[in-house]
Amino acid sequence: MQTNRQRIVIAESSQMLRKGLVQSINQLPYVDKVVELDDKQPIPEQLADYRPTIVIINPLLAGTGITAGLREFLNLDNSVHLVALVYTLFDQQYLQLYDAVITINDTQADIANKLKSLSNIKKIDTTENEELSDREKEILVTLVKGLSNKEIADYHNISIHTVITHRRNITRKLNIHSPSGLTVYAIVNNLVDLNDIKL
Amino acid sequence: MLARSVALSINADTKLSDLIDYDCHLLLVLNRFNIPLGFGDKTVHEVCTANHVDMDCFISIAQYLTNPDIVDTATFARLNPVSILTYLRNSHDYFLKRRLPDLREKLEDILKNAEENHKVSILKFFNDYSDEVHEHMAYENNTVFPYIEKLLKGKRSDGFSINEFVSNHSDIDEKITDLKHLIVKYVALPGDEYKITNFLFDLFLSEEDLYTHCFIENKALVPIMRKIEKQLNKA
Repeated sequence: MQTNRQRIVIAESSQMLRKGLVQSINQLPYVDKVVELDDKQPIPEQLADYRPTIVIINPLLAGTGITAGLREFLNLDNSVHLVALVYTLFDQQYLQLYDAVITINDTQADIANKLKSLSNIKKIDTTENEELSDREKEILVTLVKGLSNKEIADYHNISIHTVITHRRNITRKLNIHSPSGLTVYAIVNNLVDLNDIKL
Repeated sequence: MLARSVALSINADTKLSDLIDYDCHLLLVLNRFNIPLGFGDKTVHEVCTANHVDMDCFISIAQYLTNPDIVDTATFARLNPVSILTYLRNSHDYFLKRRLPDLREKLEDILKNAEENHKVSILKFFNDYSDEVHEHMAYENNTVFPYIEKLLKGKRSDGFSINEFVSNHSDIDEKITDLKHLIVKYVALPGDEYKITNFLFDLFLSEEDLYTHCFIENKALVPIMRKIEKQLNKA
């Protein structure tokens, strides 16, 4: 029963278009949750928080200067469906980077069909090794000790952006999403001692 | 008995016993609508009438649980709010008084022979989670549902709206999913494998159950209440 749940994130700066889109997809049976991104934080950081299965984004917000490496820029792995929300003219080469394109002229049924066909394809990212790297284990240890992203960045002498990437990779590889779940993982794998953790 | 691969379209004349054969999860729906067993060959319509259950509500929820893909959730906004509230309150009761204590007991049992640090960290994880669910459901029982009941009587109360509920409504199935993955993939527990399997079956069921519970809140309760708020605002 759980196979088709979709978590959809919408990144579009026009409130009118965003609300309209939310309205038309919220009622679809396979849609679990729709989240609108705000402009208070960089988009890649917000995406990391929501763990979407589908991202609908205005290519202008994703950066049209990027012809390859769009997923890297947005910090998304290959399992996430990327959909362009288009109402101006774009060079075809940008739109090729997306799994589907929704245009402003699409009817509600068009949008439903496009999302439906995406949600029937489960993309699994099998290319990567699921073992945590040594670096990721080090990050995990500081993470479960309760340090903030900023503190973890300072401690390991890396940028906050890199910390977020590591965190995302850790939760994806382990398939454990709550901080307290990661703590249990770290303890049972002897990465940290029970006494080092504020339980 | 119908094969599970066939999508069953439920209607007033469907025999309730066929429905249960088709999908045993629906037993929980009976409990939540206070429908007792022993209904013989009665149809959905007959059983709902005999037990004063809103039939559209029953069919929509049962249909969603069995074949979510053939449900048009837009119709959820037309369901009877009183029946939805009964269903949700009863399911809260079930989680808090039955399911969580039962899971905890089973978990303690399978952790009996585990290493001390495994035992401490996993139990702590579960207890925190349990507290979280209590808090989540208590907020709904004590704040959200009474607000809705007031609205249904035509009284608008200041200082709260369904939007506030929507922005506070967090996922409560995430940690149960984590616990499932931890036990399946990462913690080798010594002891009775069958007990561990039984516990995992319960976890899988609870995860699904919590998910659909929240789904009904989000896709039925919220749109219904939005509609009523709008009507009251116009009046």
